[in-house]
Amino acid sequence: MNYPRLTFGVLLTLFLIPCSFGWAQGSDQMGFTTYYFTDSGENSVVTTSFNLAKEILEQTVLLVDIELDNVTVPAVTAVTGATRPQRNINKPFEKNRGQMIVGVEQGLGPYSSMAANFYRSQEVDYISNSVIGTFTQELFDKNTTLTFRGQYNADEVGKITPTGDLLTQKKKVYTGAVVLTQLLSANTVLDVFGDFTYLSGFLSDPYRQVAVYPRSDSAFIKIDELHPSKRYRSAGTAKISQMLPSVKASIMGSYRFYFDDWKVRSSTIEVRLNKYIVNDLIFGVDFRYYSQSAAKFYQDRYIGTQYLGADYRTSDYKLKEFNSNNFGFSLTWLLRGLGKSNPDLEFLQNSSFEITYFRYFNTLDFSADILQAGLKFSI
Amino acid sequence: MTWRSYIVLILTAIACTSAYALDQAMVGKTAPNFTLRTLDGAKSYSLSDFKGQVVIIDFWASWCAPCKRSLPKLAQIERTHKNVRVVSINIDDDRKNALNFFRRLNIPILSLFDPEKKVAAKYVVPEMPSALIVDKSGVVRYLHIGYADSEFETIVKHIEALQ
Amino acid sequence: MKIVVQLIFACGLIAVLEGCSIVKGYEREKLADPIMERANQFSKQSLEQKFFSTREGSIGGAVGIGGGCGCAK
Repeated sequence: MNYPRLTFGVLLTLFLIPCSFGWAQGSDQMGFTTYYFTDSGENSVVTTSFNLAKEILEQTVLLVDIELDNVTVPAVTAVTGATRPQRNINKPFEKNRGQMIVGVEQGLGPYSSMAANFYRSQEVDYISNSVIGTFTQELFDKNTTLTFRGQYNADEVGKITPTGDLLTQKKKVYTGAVVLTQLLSANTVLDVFGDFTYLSGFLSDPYRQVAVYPRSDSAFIKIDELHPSKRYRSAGTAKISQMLPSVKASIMGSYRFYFDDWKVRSSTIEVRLNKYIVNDLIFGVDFRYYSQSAAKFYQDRYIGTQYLGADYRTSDYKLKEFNSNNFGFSLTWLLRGLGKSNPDLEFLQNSSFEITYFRYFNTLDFSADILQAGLKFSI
Repeated sequence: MTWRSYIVLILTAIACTSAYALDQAMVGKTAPNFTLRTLDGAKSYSLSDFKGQVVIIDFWASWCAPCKRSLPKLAQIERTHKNVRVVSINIDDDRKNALNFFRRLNIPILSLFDPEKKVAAKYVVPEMPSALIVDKSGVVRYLHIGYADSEFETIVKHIEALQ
Repeated sequence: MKIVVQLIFACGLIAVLEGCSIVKGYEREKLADPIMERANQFSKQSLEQKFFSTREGSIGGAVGIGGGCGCAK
């Protein structure tokens, strides 16, 4: 499949959709984001995404989000999150992934709304389909907002064999989430989130293998990793956003606690500072610290013949104990200044351009650089 | 579902209901008089200047996206209906933002400036935009919140009923 | 006893939240400022979340929705 042509065709079509409908008055939004990632294992990802929110009827908004990834994994084997077939291991591996989210948001009067979204992600050896339902209720003069979300995923986890056949196994994911937003003052907002996920089915990576030593003095045998077929995951987050009008800045801090029945526990602390440099230019600094414990069945070295049978085993570094740091910088240019000086550019009034860089590194000798640029239009 | 959950839900429903009640607090009451200067500071006006007319008092802000759509619609109502006056009141902190926004709209309605939000507080304004329709004797008859095409058809009906 | 404590907590929470209609619609200019944007663009936020979820063992704690702007749609 010719992905550049497909990308162009999809984006062109999406441009034509607003022209044929006609823009609604002032509440529609459109955005483009390009994202480039490279890490210490020489893996790279280029992502292009487009999103659109268009009012098609009174209180009815159509939502479309499209994302296209191109993933490149080098020939030298390295620890990577990308899946790759076992054949062609001596050549760089390239994979494309397409994702689309289509949904409708319907207002139910001035204080509540609901939304239904359908999500599909497709790549050569992985398909994910999901339906998402959301209900939002505003309370107490819109000082409080409650949002409930339910999501069901049905995935097909595939493996391309050395002979080129595709073998698939199923995975199901059920997610429930609640978000509470509370205005604490004219300058302060509190967000509290809680989510719960239940996964069942094939939860391993079909390409990943584990070195198992039958005895401590024997050579290892490579065998497919084996994870449990169920997982219960939960997370709770609290976030405070505080405006600092005297210095034209804002500060946001959050804490997330995560736990699951594989005994992985983690804490995430994130702090973000945004400041106006000049009227329409915002500089942002972000710091994130993450720390997690290992899964109960994780071992650095599997010794014993039981690991050649039904005992769980993994080589997934994401189930290991580690911590990470993430530093980010961003510049956001609000395009409203252009609209003020030139009436023809009035449509840029609520639009912006943002560029972000962040550097990630963890205690597993993994690091990554991510560069992201995004353009948002509100028309 | 336990009985505790039912109690919590009932209390939440009561709270939601009370939120709606607050919105309509001014309806049926005499519109409080006020005196404010225009956005450009040139003149001042009082509500009593418009006695004998049906008045639409519309509270708006430059940071309110729906206001961009509602203000031209109100201007159209003033143009097409005799003895109806639109008095728009801006509540921005910064007059410059309000002036820029209003000038870009280029509509010939009166706009007053209430930076301390005292008049907005008197009128118990729930959201932006909020339009209160005051009859010829100075009583608030209707409150409209937000912008929607269908909402403006209702405003026109309400105006015509008061004329 | 536990039930009573939970019920008191729930009633107290509702009462506190009801009393917390403390930010009127006309006082939300600061919250509507772009510098306070919390619910980022759908794509941007999901890209960041996807990066972390593919590198770390946790998921969840997504962006908040709602509140902030005093604007009626």
